Amino acid sequence: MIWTIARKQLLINVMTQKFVIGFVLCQLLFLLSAVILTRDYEERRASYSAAASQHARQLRQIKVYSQLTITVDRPPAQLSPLCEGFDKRLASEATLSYTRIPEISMGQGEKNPLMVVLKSFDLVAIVQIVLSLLALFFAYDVVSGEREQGTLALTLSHALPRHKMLMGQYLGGMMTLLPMVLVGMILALFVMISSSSIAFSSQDWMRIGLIVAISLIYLSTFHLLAILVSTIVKRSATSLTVLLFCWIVLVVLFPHASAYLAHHIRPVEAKAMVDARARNLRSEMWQRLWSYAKKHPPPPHRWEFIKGRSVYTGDIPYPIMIYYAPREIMLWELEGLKYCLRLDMEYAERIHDLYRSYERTLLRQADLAKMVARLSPAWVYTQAASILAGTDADHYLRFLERARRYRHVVIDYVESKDGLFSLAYFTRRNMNELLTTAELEALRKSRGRRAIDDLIGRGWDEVPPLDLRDMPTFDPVSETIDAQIKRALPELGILIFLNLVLFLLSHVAFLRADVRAD
Amino acid sequence: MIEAINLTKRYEDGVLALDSLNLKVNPGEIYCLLGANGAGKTTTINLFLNFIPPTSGTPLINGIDVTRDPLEAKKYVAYLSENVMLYGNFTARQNLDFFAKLGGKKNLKKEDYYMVMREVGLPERAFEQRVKEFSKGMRQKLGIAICMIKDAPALLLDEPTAGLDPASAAEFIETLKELRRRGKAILMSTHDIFRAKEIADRVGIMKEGRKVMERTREELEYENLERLYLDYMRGGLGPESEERRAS
Amino acid sequence: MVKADIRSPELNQTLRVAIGPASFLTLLQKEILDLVLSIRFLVLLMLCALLIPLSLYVNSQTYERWLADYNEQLKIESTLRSSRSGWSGTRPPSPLAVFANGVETSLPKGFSIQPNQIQMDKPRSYGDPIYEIFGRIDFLFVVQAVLSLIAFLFAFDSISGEKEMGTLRLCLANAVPRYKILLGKFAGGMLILVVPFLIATGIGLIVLTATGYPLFDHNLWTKVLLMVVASIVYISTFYVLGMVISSLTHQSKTTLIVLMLIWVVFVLAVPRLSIIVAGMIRPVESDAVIALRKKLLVEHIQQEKGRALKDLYFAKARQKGLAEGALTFDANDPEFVRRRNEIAKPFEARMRDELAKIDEDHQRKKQRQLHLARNIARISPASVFAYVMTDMADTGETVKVRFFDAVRRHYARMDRLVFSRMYQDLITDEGHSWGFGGTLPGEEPPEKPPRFAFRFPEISESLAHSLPDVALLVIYALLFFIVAHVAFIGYDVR
Repeated sequence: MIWTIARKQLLINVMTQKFVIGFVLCQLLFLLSAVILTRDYEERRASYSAAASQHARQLRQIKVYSQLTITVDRPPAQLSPLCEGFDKRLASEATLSYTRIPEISMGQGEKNPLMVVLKSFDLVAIVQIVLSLLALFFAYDVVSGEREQGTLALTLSHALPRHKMLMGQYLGGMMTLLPMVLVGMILALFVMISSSSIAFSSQDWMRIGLIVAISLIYLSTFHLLAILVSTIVKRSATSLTVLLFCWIVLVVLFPHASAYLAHHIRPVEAKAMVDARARNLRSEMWQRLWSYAKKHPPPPHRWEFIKGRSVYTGDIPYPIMIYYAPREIMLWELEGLKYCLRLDMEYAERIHDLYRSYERTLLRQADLAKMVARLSPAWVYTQAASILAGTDADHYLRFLERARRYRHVVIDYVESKDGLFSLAYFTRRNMNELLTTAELEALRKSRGRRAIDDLIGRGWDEVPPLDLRDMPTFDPVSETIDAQIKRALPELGILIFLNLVLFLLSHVAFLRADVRAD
Repeated sequence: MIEAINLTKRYEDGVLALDSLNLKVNPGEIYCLLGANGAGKTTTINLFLNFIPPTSGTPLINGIDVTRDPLEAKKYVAYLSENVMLYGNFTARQNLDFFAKLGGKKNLKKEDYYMVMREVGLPERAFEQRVKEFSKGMRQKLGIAICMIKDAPALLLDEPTAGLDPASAAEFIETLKELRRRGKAILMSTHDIFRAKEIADRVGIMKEGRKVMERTREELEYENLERLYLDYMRGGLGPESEERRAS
Repeated sequence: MVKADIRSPELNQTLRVAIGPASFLTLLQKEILDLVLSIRFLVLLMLCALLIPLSLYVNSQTYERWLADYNEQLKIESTLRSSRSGWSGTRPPSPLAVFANGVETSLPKGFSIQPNQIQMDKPRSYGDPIYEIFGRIDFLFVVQAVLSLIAFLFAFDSISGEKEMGTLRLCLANAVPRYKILLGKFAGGMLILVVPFLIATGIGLIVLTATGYPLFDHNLWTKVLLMVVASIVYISTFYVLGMVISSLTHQSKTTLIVLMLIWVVFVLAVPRLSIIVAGMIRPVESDAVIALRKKLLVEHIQQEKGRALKDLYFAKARQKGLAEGALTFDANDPEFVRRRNEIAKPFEARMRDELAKIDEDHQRKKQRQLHLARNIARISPASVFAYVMTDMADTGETVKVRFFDAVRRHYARMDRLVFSRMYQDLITDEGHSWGFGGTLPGEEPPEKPPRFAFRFPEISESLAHSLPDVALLVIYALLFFIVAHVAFIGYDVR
């Protein structure tokens, strides 16, 4: 019985011009979007690889531990053509060093200011906007139209329980939408797979399957809404208007309103204020460094005996690289390093705490906005899809967290090599091989300039790079699908809950509906 | 007043919907067009309204060739179509008002509208009621009221009694008689043999696009219309020639 | 009203018939009444009343913050030492960004310059990053995306729906020419669409002025008026398009699907795709790549220059008997300065020229790409409308071009007056490097270096620039109306 009704509904929908037009256009959109976004992904992947190898190359060229500034790269999400999320909007790399802790930073982002409506036109967006509209337009008169035609009364004059008819209508409609989504997704996936930059693991396939399933649940929500309104409202044209209004409110209005509400209920301090406080801390640090420098002037020295020296500023003993210097200078620099570097790292942590708490307020605000935005099935759907695709904001935050932890790992490594508060931080010399200024002068008097040059050496160019092969590498571990499902559970729950509620309401409404034409 | 001269309509796909129809309805005369569905009755009316162009032949309203000067011709004709919904958000009076003005009747008062609606048998409470709440019979009556208020000399009615209960149909027949008395020429397509016999001055039977028989009221006194009709429908008798009719 | 006598020979009487033409006003009245009584009007009212004043208000708050930031920045700049002024500049926010954000949130809010380097600041943001996540509705969005959808909602059953109802037949059984019916539908629908829109916009403008928005400064209100007019033209274009499709289809449900797909293509797909396609046909290197290239060029030439100057500096150091490893720029030795200039200036000139060439080249390519994108996007009335609105609001591509031009001109002025009177030499030898910089003796920069000033285009300039697009919108509307007319003339009403 249900199947008969479903088949009837499917045929009604499919054997029409409008279905063909809708179907063809959807597939075109899916295909176009897939081609463009896959190409975009390929480019991003290529620049990620280039950046990663360049950063690796840089690491192989460093000669002292002070130069250890590591940039870790975040690979673009393979599933981003399906759901772009924040993948492009947040930075794809994070830079860390002893005194530099990674902060949230925006990426290249969308350069097109005339893209007024959508931020991205990925596959999920096509489902979210186009297919949900299609779902409305196919179902807005599924009950009211049949009532007007008289076929509703005719159908129910048979021995058919009402709820079975409703199930049949619903199934028929979903069967109409199913090929639109499936064929489109298959086309898109085909395009994606044929790209050499993309290779799906089995977990990726599961993710894709889940995204398709969630897309269907999302469409089912609007389909049920259309059925409900069609049952309650007598005239089809009215039903359409009501549904369009609901759609505009749910898909467009609520997400924007949630940002506005969150902004007002949980306002966040302007970043400029936090930056100002950070700047103050930095000035404070420099003042302390300067007062240290005043109290610890360098011992007398001859400039000619120093080679390959770069420092933050000549008067503060905070060395970066020194190729050769007389022993007392080296000692002076070493003592200075111990003080300055420690202070610098301490202040880096304090500034980082500032930004951390600012981040926390941002996140709290975002959480509130998310809660309100959950009223919009469109937002819920996109959120769930981007969690599974690995392109939501949390994904980036995790990357950042791992980068920060990696910084500690690196610092521990350098400490284990005794490279942190020691000579190895800024030079390759041992203390014993260094002569004092007096000794150097004597040498020069006796053997001439040539001997000094031979002793000192030619400079940094002839120094081989440090061997860092045993340094732990940064592992861009991606989230397992279990963890992602767990995080997406609230969103999934909301969608399923909405479906159940709408189905129940339609059920009740249909049971009591007046089936007469008039 | 309403005249068709060799009116023919052949569609692009080759279907001959109307084959050389000759018809004349004079003022003060009711002509009933009988026939099965698809026999060409509605096509005939559509041709008189210039909704479709004829393949050949001439439809005339008040001597005006409808194909040459449709706008002029339409001034003289009032139309009632089958199964009309009208403007649901409007009241009966508002619908009437609009179509009256469209038909060229301005400056009519509420009372004028009420009078016409009373004449067609609409209940008082329906005058200011929204048409979307009307039953089919009430809509039909309002349709007739729209025809009446235009006060055009020719009326084209497409299945006007279809779906009416006997009482309403009888009321409608009375209204038609009144309109005939006022000198209107009425062309009416119908399935209703009973009413046709009751009111028609002349009856024409259409079959597959051809008018196969025409009888006047006097001739029908002596013949059984039902039997004739059914015989023709079953495909027994062929089309009559003009000579037979004349005799 | 014409009275006619019809002679009826059969009845032997004369019938008097009073006949008159059906008036346009009757049709118009009916359309208006029908639409007002429908739920669609209510929905339109609610959406307009909700979205327009709210979006205007929210955006005006953001604008005030931007304005405050800008004024603060100006104050800071004015307190800078006169020698440092002109080394940076700020761009004023466009007040009409309240209506159309456009490039306002992607164009840098200022810049700072040094010899051979222009550094752009970050663009202004909405404030909280949360708006980056959820996006922002502005007036342009409401009209371009929402009202166009509503226009379709009003138009989709204008012809096919009346046919389905049977009332179209009834109307056409009267002496009313088809074009009058079409015109009546257009005029009625437009009035019903436009009145709530105007009321809501009026309320929004009142709210704006109440919160202190300078609506009457600098003829802002003229531009606002023009934007409102453009919006009305845009809405009418979509309404007519809806009528076209309605008169080409025989089932209102089919009309609906087709219209929805048209909406998706025009409003969502074309604006985005035009940029991408233009990028594929005329690719341009990214700003980052260009900046890197410029940096490398500067480094390279600086090194060459350093090599050429090395002997001079070393000779000077020997002459002065400095300790080894100490070099100096002797400002008091005119011969030294002259020799230095003689050697260095050609390199500096070359650097200037090549940098300028890279910039010009890049700008030209970007312009061509932009031009192409704009032309491609003109397929969709929605993009045309967006261009018109952003141009009017001074937040369009024109302003972007103007800003960058202004920055370049300012840099050229600074270069001529200040930077060319400075020296920046980098000498390297055996792994040591010395940097020297300062003002060349004998060439003091002017007391007051030029301040950066950015002026928004005059209304005549904006108009002239967006006139073709406005005309295009009108042409679209007329074209659609003609097609609707032709289609409706042959429309089968049975």
